[in-house]
Amino acid sequence: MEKTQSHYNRIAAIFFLIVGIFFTLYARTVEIGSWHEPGPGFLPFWAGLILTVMALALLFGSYARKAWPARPSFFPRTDSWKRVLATFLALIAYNLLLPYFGFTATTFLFLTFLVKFIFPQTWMRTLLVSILGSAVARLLFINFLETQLPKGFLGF
Amino acid sequence: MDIFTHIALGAQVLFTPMNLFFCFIGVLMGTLVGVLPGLGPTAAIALLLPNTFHVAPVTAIIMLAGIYYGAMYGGSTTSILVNIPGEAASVITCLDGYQMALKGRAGPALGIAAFGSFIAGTVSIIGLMLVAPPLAKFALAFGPPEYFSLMLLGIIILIYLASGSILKALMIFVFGLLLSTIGMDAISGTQRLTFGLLELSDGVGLIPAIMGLFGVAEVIANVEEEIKRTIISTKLKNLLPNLQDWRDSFWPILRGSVLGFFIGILPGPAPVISAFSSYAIEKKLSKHPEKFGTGVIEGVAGPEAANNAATGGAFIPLFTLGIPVNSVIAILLGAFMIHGIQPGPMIITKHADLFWGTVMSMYLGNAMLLVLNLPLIGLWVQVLKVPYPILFPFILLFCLIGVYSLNYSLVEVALMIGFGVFGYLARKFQFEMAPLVLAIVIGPMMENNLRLALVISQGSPMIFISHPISAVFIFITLALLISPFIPWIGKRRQKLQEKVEGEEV
Amino acid sequence: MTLAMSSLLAVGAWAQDFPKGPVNFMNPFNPGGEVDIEARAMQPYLEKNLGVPFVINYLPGAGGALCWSKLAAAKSDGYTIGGFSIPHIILQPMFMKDTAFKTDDFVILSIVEYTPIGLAVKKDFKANTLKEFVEYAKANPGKVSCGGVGKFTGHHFATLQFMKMAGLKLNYVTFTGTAPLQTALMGGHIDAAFSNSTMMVSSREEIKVLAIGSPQRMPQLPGVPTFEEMGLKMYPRIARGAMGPKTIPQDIQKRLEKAFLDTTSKPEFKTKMEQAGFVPQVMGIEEAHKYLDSEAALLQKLIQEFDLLPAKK
Repeated sequence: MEKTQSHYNRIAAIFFLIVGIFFTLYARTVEIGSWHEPGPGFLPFWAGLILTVMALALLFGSYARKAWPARPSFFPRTDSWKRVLATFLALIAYNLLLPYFGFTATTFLFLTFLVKFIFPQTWMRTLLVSILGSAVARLLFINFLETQLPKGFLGF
Repeated sequence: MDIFTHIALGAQVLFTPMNLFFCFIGVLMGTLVGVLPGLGPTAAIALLLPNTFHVAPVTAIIMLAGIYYGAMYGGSTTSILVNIPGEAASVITCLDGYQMALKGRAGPALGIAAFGSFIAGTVSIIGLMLVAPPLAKFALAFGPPEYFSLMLLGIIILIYLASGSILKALMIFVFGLLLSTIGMDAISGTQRLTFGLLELSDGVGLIPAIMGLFGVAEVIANVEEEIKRTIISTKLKNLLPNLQDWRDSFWPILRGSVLGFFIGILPGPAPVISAFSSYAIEKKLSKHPEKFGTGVIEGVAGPEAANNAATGGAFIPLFTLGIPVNSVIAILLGAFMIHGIQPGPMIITKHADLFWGTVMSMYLGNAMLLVLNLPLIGLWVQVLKVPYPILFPFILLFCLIGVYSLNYSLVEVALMIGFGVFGYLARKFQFEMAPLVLAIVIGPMMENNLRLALVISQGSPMIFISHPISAVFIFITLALLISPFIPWIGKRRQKLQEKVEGEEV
Repeated sequence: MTLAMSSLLAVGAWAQDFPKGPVNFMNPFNPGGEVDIEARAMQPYLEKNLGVPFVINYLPGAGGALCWSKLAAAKSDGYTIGGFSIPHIILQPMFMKDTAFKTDDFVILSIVEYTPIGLAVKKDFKANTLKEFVEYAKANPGKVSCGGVGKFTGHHFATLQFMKMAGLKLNYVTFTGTAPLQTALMGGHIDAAFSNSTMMVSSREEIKVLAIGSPQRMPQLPGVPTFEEMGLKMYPRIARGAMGPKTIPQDIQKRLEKAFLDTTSKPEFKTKMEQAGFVPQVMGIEEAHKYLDSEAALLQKLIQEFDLLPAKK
């Protein structure tokens, strides 16, 4: 079955519907207040309500129209999802490892992984880039700009 | 004529080696800071302020003003080259600027941004010189109801910003508004959706959001396609805007300058609002609005001019009323007071040398910016020639460090990654991100002013209409909202519905 | 240098080594505000005294509560300290929901100044004196809008105290900082405001100051009567200075205290502060805590007596 824009809209609409309802209900736990003295829940409540209404409109709209432009499937090429996932995981890993390995080491690992495994380069090139890259980054950020980046257990 | 004596006085103050030197340093540091994501002008000024204690107040102000301008310009560079906004105001530049770069026109984009900013800076300084006091009074007339209505009007601007479905743009905006409520409520102190995380008490950071939505998402999207990057084949001679570019940009720059200047007077994130507004206006006035978003130079010239003009306008309340309209100016105000200068209506007369010296320095600062940045364009374009498989990890690294160095918070980096995912998905689902950024920026202000207005009026929403300025804004908002729906006949209705809920083919 | 190194091994000789790097000062309010001005005025003297950069960071939100929550949980090495406002740090933990700090989480290193709180009205307001104001407000209960910065802060409390003592009802409007409050008053969007002497001094051309909460008239505000003169025995004020998490080691506390005392006792510093409308103080840790305790007791008494604020749920 060919995907059309309506399918995407439907999914998006459901997402926003959930978000809208969530905020509307959540607002009640944090004191909506009155018109005279609006509380922290005031805006979340009304905005949540508006979002819910709009999401419903989008949802119904996705069923109403006849002719929808076609849209490519979610991942244009069969293999590309691997790259996307890998890159995201690399980012998450960087964030998690940074306090332990320290800035320079984590950066080195990060660069190596991405250069080598996403659009594979030769090892020679990879190492050249990642060593140079992490060294320059370190000099720039830690020594020159004196940003407080973690040292990690290796001490540098 | 009086004005010329003033300019002469200012020039005399400015053209001492010390002041010139500090002006240059300010502009240089500002640009560097603006290019690096996350470090905004506020941080730069706060960092460099201590060094200014040992010099005369005029010199200090000159340097600090230079930083402010420099930072605004630096942000544009990364927006155009790699779709990463240096700060919030540069988000709009990404829209068309980056597209231009992709088409091999990075040079003209950067060039027009530089020139546009220069011209805008000049316009705003002239404005500052001529109309400072009466404008300031006008700004005072803006209270909570007026601000709220103005922001509301701003949302309508969004409708014109949207190149796709209006409904979706509005939905994203409201979503952003809800996100902006996360954090500790400024008025009551209640924690909203912070899950006990102290880092979230400040709310969803703007920088993690824009780095994620624009920077990370863009890279991931590129990684997905096995991109063949055509920007590499930029011919070096096309570094500057050509005659056609100039013709196209002339009016946008002028309009942007005037717009930015007036918006700059009002408190709040003026550069951001001016840039967004300018983009919307240019799109509305253009003969080919559908081309916006694909790389039209008006989409860069106008907003760039606007955000620079806004920085000039922001000085007016400082010099005339002693009121800071944003944190950068507030720091300058503090600096004044430390140096024993009492801000307020008297400042122009009692410290004429300070005022005019600063005015002239702003002009010089703009000129220096131009001179500094133009040659660098060639350099920047070279950076783009690096093959993407090697370049993109660095772009990501840049984003990661940039966000981390803000508050040394891993939570914010995680937020950025989260926004990256969201931005990536949003592209797939055909949602635009600019409204989200706008919402996060003006959300807190909107909410604050809404609540203030309601408290003042003791619960009556009529306050928004009983105040004349506010009423005008509300009226325009309603008019704009309704106007697309007026041709309610046949085919046009069909087309309209498509625009509202679906896609334009 | 070697002396310093060897004393590292000695017990409790950390102070010799302190500070080794920049000291971070967390400002609980916005740039350009009173804490900022005070901090920046002190900065050059402190840096000279401590020999390291004195970095000012901003962490505004919820009338200061955000910053203080973070400060209470900060590292106790003495490199993170912050500004404070009394009575805010007393009142907020008592009355605000979700505060993540308590008054005794901190050690007050020094009280640098205080600003008496005064009542001002917009330029074209019908009342010109405090007496007229009280009459007008009594005739229009709840209709006169009166602004202040934050909830459970000095301004808020002053408003409550005033309302109780004078027997009238005002509509308190909460602002997030002095600058928006000032703009709103100058622009006539609110009728009145309880605010700091510094704001009164800087905008006295544009507003009418009806009374000030100091024991005697302030020279920086000529012609402005005190509340006491007008028959209201109230002395609202906000005291500010520097504090840190109370877990900071004693000797580091002393070192910091010394830096502050040296700074605040300099005559040119005092003059600068006075010009801006502050009342400079020179108080070290012990004196400051005495003050804190007496203020807390006073506030408790007032709360009891006037039934001013609902207690935390």
